[in-house]
Amino acid sequence: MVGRWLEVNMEIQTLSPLILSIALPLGFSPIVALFGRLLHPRSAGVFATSILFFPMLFGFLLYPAINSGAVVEERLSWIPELGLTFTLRLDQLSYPFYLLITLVGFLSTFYSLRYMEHEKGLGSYYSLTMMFITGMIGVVLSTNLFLFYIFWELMLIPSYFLIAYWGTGNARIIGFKYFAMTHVGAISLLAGIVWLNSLYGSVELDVLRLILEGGSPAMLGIATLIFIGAAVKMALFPLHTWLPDAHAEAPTPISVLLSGVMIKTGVYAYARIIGGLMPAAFQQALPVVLPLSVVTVFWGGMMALVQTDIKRILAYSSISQIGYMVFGLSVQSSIGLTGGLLHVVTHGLAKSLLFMAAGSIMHSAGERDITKLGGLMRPMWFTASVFLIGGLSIAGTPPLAGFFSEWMIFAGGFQANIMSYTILAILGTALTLGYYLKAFMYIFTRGEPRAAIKESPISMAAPMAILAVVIILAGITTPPITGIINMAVAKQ
Amino acid sequence: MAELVPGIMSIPILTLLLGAVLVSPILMILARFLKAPKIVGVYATLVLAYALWQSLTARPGTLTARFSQAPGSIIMADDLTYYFTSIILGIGLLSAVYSLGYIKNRSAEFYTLLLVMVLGMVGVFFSGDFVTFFIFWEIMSISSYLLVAFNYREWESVEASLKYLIMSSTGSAAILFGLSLLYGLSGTLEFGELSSVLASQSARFELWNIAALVLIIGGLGVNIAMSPFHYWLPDAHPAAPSPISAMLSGVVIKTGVFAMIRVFTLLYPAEMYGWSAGLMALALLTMTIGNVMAVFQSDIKRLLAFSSIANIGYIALALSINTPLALAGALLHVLNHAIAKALLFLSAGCIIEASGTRNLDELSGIGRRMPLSAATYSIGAFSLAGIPGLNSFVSEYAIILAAFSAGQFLPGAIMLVNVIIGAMYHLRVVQVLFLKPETGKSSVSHEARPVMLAPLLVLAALCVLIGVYASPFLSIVFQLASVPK
Repeated sequence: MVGRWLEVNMEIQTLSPLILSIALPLGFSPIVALFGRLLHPRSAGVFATSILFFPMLFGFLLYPAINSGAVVEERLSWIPELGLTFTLRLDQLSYPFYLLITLVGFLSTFYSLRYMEHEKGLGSYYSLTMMFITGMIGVVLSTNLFLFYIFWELMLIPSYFLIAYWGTGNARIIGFKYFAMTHVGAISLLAGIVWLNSLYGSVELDVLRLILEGGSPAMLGIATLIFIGAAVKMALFPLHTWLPDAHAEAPTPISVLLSGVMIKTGVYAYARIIGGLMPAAFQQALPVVLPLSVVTVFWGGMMALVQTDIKRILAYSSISQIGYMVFGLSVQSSIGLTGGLLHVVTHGLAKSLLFMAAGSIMHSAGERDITKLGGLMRPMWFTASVFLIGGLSIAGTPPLAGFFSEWMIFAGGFQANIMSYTILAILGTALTLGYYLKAFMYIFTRGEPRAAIKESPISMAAPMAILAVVIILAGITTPPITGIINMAVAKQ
Repeated sequence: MAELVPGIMSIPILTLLLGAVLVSPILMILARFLKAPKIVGVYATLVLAYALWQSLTARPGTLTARFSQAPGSIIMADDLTYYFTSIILGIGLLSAVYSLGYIKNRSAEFYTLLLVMVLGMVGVFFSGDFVTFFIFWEIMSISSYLLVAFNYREWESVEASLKYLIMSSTGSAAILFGLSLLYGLSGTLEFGELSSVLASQSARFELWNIAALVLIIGGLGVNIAMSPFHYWLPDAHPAAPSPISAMLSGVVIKTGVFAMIRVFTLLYPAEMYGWSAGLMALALLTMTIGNVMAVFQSDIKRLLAFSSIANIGYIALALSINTPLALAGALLHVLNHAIAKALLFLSAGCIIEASGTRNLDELSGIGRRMPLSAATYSIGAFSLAGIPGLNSFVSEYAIILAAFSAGQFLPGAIMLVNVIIGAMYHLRVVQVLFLKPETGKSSVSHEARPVMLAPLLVLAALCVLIGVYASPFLSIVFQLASVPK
């Protein structure tokens, strides 16, 4: 059995799975749009879902290789004039992100099948979703910053359209705000990349890493520019203002992708470029970044506590949790770094689950204001239980997955001897628990039971069930991903 | 006596000279007589296609031909010539194909004028001395005035054409005055001889020589719409028929860029004449004015016209940095902007023709009725917005990289800010076309005819191709930029 598994794994590597996981969704996205126009809209959704199944499958099949410490790399020649190759690489740092993106990408598209069925222009919707997911996959696989930036913007354009066209409320203005802020951040990132390129004549991460071992005086400026780009994407205070609007007003499957996955690419950029390439500048920036991360934790938490819109609570919660990830990555201890990266995965799973649950509530009850909801415990017991699982996991309740990542983040803080910040961060979890329990009480337990409301259909419940099971399993066993993250941390 | 250089018969300029000057007037009269104006259009398209084929398959290397001993008779062709010629002929060909569906009245005159305009531009690229240069320059300019005023029953076109004529003639006069000064100083107007005369130290400190440089650059600055000489462009480009707007914004202003490259690299080396700082200041002013003004436009073609001014600013900035990388970036941006801007004006032409309005407020939601035109428009808009994966990003990246590499951090940063502003107004139009609710005018529009859509699809495919696989194009421009001066 094991032998057969390894054999499949060897075969999968000869298929160039990384190039396929970019090429399949990107190449088929126009065809999906065509399907939606010519055939039934649902066929576009089914087709998109089945295409997006493959990157996830590749992720699972590559697990043994990555877990054994190997790196999967695929190279094509591209622009020799600028010294660029089209090289994709899946290593231990990018693997958790890759897995999260492909898993949540597949599940949220599956979830869209029923959730979005009454919307217009579904062919384009699925086509743009595929491009959006391709952009995220590309960001974590790129080995040079030029390619990285291309995928970075490929995330932005489709997601802008998804928010502005299928969003709720004042979607056009919110979409524009999202685009404007994120694009300015991207240009800042680009300025940093160009500056690096002009100083060292290369944008290949490997080459830069070798050159930069010694550090240089201009590094702080470059690091600041790149950090701004990453911070806008991950919505770090005070660059977070686009997030509550965009994540709350996007169609729910896209909120899942935005909050569950996309903001994590900012964390990835922070870990890969600043943490990996410029350790000296990283050290110098810590006195600013650490307080910012703690302020982000509290700002997001307090804002979440006073919201009444269910998706807005979740959006502010994402800001707050990003604060934890940045805190973990910045404490300068290996256990904190492991915790920060693990929190990317655990928060990604739980937040996706929560947004799906919120979508399920909106789908069934037709209402998103928690003060007007209530009494849904009995009719929607399944949604209630997964909502509780997601919320408790993010609040760091043992034995759910989020507990371990937060535990490691705080342990890292103490190990690095930054007591006051760590204690503040721990206090922040009380806020997290507060707003999730408040939301749970308002939506489910308070008020008269409403028998007329029906539970969501099975195709929306299934992705939620999968995520809930993963969260519970990851809590009671040591998450299999932890070993891989440990290897990544050792390489940093 | 003409020395017949081998290969002279296969250069595009002769094809165009014969095709435009000799055949097309006869054909025009014939077409009127036969009441079949379409044949001129088909003929012009074929001439342009043949000339483009000649230009693309031209032998590399420099070719100089002198037809008599009189001044002003030198044809000179090098790799730079063929690069620009191919761009102009390519855009010209696609505009001609597009016009087969777009131009309904007086198409016989239209195509004759179009051929003459292309002839003027190509002649500028092939000129080996300033007299030939100036003659073709004026051929290009005069046919442009006429084409801007092609819809002469509309007051807007006539007014814009008149404004264009006055401004551009002033520029031409300045060029001519500069040339006369040069001739008085050196006794020659041939590029080869001038470059050796001007490279001497005594010429460097000659006041009249500096005056000639300033006059020539000022005159060219009017043509490329560099601030503070840009006022004619936002009127002239929108007033013309859409395929002509595509030509004017896409390639006519690039003729001035070509002339600037010739003047700067061949005649007035930056190390001696120190024009970099001045040009850089004007370039930054140009891009900022173009982008900021574009934000406030409610007329889709006027917005595109201001965007052209901004892109000229990027190209001029690259010229002022004057390193091989910057020059390569400028040359690639000439190609990229030509493709993207032609695409934008042609797509906008489809949209405007279908809806009968240029006002962005009335065009809202038209993307639902005209998905192909609006989608190709979006590709062009995203390209010029500097979105990676599309062509303009590569050249903008190269220019900013060149600025940073040359230590010019502030200009590089200003250009970055400009790219952001550009992204904002381009996105605004895309948003209007696709996301806003439909209006009375946009809801009754229908998709354009296939003959108009075909050029759009070709241009959009080029935008994506150069963006994703820039390598062959970069190798061409790097080769051009590294040629020893």
